[in-house]
Amino acid sequence: MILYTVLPIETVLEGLGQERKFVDIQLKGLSLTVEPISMEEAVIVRVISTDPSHYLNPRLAPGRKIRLFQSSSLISDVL
Amino acid sequence: MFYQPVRNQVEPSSELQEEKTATQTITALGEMSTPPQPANNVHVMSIIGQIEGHIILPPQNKSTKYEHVIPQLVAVEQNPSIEGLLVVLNTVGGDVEAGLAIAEMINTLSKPSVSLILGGGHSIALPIAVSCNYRFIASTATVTIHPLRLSGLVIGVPQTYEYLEKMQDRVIKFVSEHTTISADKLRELMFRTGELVRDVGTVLVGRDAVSVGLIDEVGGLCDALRVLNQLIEEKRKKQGTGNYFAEMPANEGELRQ
Repeated sequence: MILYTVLPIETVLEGLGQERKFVDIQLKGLSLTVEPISMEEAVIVRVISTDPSHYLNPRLAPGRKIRLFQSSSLISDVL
Repeated sequence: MFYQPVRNQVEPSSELQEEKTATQTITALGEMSTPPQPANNVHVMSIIGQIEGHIILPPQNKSTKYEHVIPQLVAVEQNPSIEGLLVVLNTVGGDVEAGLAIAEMINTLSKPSVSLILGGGHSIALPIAVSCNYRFIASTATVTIHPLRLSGLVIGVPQTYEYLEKMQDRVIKFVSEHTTISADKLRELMFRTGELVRDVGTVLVGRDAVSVGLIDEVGGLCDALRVLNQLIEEKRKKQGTGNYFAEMPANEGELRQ
């Protein structure tokens, strides 16, 4: 990877080593990679789809928050 | 593990549901039709911050995601209700290959495209800007042209520099092929001394970028949209379809029933 940028490379890559946790979820049959930010919410990182119209949907834009609801069965699993 | 993919049940955002309720209300009230919304035939793509390539950049960077922009361009090409593309650039550069990929995709669109540089269109933003059919730059916006650099662990052999030279030539070739500037002149701007503090390169402000032949015109939002609409009109005439009204999006059509 070659970065061609006016910003100093140290500024751009600062904090690159910090681990971020991404998970893949299904939303109405569509795969999304999200980064959970709390128990209920996650931020969309990536849309995984072969339908180009999904990429035009502003609701699926990366950076958008979505709400995750845990099923009760999952909670009982954990308990 | 709380976020197991298969077990998760995701509900659509509240906004989506609100919109649904609005549609249902209209249906329930028995309204015949709503005034047709003029469908927007122009797609705006803003390229901001760093152009992200193979590595997800740390969150302090604002970034344009390559893997989202590329399919979006496919959608622009494929969607019959989109007739033109406006690319708004305010970017500090980024991944060479991601930038060139976006530039090639815009360049090979069959639909008219216009770019507008606001603030700054530095480094790899230049190929993206010149890939459009017509380019504008705001009078206060700048374009920085500088050489490519290697970072991290560099093996000090001549081949490393040859490789870097090759990468640089890709950028120079793309830009010179799509503008009136020659490759030699661009290289000269790239390595000029005395313009940048402790660095080589050139900063072109508004009109300077036009005078060297990189950008077509100094202008703003209304100029960019005017030219884009002109290009759309020309394309329609060429096709002779007489399709002067953009098609209604499918969901709006449902609403009218």
